[in-house]
Amino acid sequence: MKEQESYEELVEQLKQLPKKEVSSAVNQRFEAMEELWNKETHRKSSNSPKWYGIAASIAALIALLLWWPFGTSIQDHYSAMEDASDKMAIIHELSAKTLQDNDVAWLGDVLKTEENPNIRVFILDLLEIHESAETHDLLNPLQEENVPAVQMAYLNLARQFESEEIMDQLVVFQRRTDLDPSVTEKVATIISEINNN
Amino acid sequence: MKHPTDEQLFRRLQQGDTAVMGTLFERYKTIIYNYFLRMTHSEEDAGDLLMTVFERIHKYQKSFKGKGKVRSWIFQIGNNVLKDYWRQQKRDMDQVYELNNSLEFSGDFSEEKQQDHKMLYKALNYLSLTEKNRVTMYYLLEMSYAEISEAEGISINAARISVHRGLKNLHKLLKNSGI
Repeated sequence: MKEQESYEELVEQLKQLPKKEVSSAVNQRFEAMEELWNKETHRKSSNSPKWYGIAASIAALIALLLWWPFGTSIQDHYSAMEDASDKMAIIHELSAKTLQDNDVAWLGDVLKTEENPNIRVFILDLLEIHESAETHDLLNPLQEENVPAVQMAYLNLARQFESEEIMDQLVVFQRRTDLDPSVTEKVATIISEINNN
Repeated sequence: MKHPTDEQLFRRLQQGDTAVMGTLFERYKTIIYNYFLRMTHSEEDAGDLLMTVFERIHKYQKSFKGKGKVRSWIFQIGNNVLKDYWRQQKRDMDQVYELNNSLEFSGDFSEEKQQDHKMLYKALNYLSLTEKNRVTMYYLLEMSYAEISEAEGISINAARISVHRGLKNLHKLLKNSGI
């Protein structure tokens, strides 16, 4: 009987183990993902236009042919966009190609000026995926970055360098007292990985 | 207004209403995050795995044919994501691995209660990954034996035995080894 009670108590304890809340960094990463899905859905739905949609598309195409400045780069196209999801869609297009040095340099400049944190995360993810960011300068804005999701994305990028050259930057960053615990954990992990290598 | 069921939400998602993903995330983020947190003891990895689950839900939404509950389908994805993670880490599911024990949980708990939680976490770490996973699926995710059997590709009876064995081992550990 006592044994049975003790099992029941254990089951209760298991059920009542406390739960942790998802960090703001994770929530922001989800929001960035959501924004991209919405954009994709919007694109798909506008790819199946009705007859008046087709007419409007033809008119828009003619206008575009008349006014489009041929040779406009993706950078100019990006600068002309105001909506965050449009900007993200442009960056998404870059993910399909091999990033050139000038693409990386441009993305680095955008990182410094772009106000939308979701876009900054998106750019950093792109740089990380392509493993093309040879320049450690890309990490410089990390020190000024205040959004945990973006900090995490910078750290993901930093991880791929696996180099002692970024150690100073990481150590300085680690001293900040306003970091989210998940960010603190990540920077500590990367520092220890570099030390162990 | 009555809250829509997961199944109603999912039908809307399959019809192209991606805003539903946000609602599903709100409903499931804490439970799935804590599942991964208990299995990995890393907030960073738990966050990454949670993102992977929602990427897969979005990507494979059409493969949900309406048989069974959305909830179990989502938890099944969670289980698969975790297995992939262990595979990447080259972990053997039948082995016990020592995990970082420094996780702190805030909340209004007495010191004694907090000590109990710590001991239980420590004891859970002495189970093999498979046992720990099934015990966590049963007691945290509240999956039924039938759902665990489907997620793990085992019989319902094997799922029941595995959870019971895990509980028994946990009980023994807490009772005898002075954890």
